[in-house]
Amino acid sequence: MSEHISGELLSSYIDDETDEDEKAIIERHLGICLDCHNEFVNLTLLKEQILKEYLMVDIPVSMEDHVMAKIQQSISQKSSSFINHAAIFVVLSFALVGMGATGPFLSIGLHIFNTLFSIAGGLMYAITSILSAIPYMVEAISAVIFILIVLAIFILRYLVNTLAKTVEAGDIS
Amino acid sequence: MVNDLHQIIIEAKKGDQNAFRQLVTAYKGTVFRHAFSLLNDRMEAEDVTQEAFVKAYYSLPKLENEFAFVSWLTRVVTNLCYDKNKKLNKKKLAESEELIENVRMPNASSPIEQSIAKMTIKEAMEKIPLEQKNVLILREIQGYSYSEISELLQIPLGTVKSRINTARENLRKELEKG
Ligand SMILES: [Zn+2]
Repeated sequence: MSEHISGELLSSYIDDETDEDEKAIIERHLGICLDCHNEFVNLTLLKEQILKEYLMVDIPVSMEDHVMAKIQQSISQKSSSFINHAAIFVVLSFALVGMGATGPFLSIGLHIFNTLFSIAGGLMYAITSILSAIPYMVEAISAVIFILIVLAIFILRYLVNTLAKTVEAGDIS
Repeated sequence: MVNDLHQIIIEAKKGDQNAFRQLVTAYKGTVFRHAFSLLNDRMEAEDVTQEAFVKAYYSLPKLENEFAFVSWLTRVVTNLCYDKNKKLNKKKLAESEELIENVRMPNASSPIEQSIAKMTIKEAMEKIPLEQKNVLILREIQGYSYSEISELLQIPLGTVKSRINTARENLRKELEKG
């Protein structure tokens, strides 16, 4: 057999990626052809050189610290953006309540609203600071706080309405 | 060792930060070597490695199969390096244009110095296309089989085979030039 081994076949041979038949043909040829044998030696050498070159690369020692710091940073960014959203929501709901509940009943309504709201606020800060280390927790907490705030607004509106009706009735009689 | 890693991946998946840190320790060598061989720049490779692990931290809970972690990570590093390379090429191009326009310096290194400097593997690697470099690195350094590379990069097995061969041919041409 006089045909030389193609580059691709030789390349997969040194990677041990040829089937048994191919392997047998290649080895038989390498035994008699100096050109192909030299090619084989050069390729093997190149393979060793590449491996040596990159295995010698120094691996950064403090990689773990950097990665963990980046993760902490991204977590606190997430929760601070959550606090921003919560703050905007609180301001909006105050404005809404302010518009809906004006008049002499404001103080009574606001007292109940404030109580509920401060619970929500306290919870928000306590929980975010404790659990900011856990990912995907922020979303769950924000849902709970959202429900609390909505509840507070509804109770306030109900109270204002009932009080208004009672006073109106009193005025007529 | 492999069983331990499997356990660590499961723990990290549950959100255990200590386990995740161990995971970084276990894989930082593989990831950094891959990034460094593709980018040929320590700082950029460190950047990519960190980014890959941060991505891993957030994607880990969604990973269905723990066994797929390494190949998933390898794919992330490949993609990050491709993106980085695009940016670096743009920067290099801008810089070299600036250099041609502004400084017409006499040869910084004399012809003698140039001929003495023999091209290293790393320098030759820089001259070959990134896709070729990537398959070669995945094979030589990371030790993946042809079929694993084919699956990893979503390219036909025949392409893997021919690309590795082309990469070697080009690499040798560059080394002979040097
Ligand atoms: Zn031959």
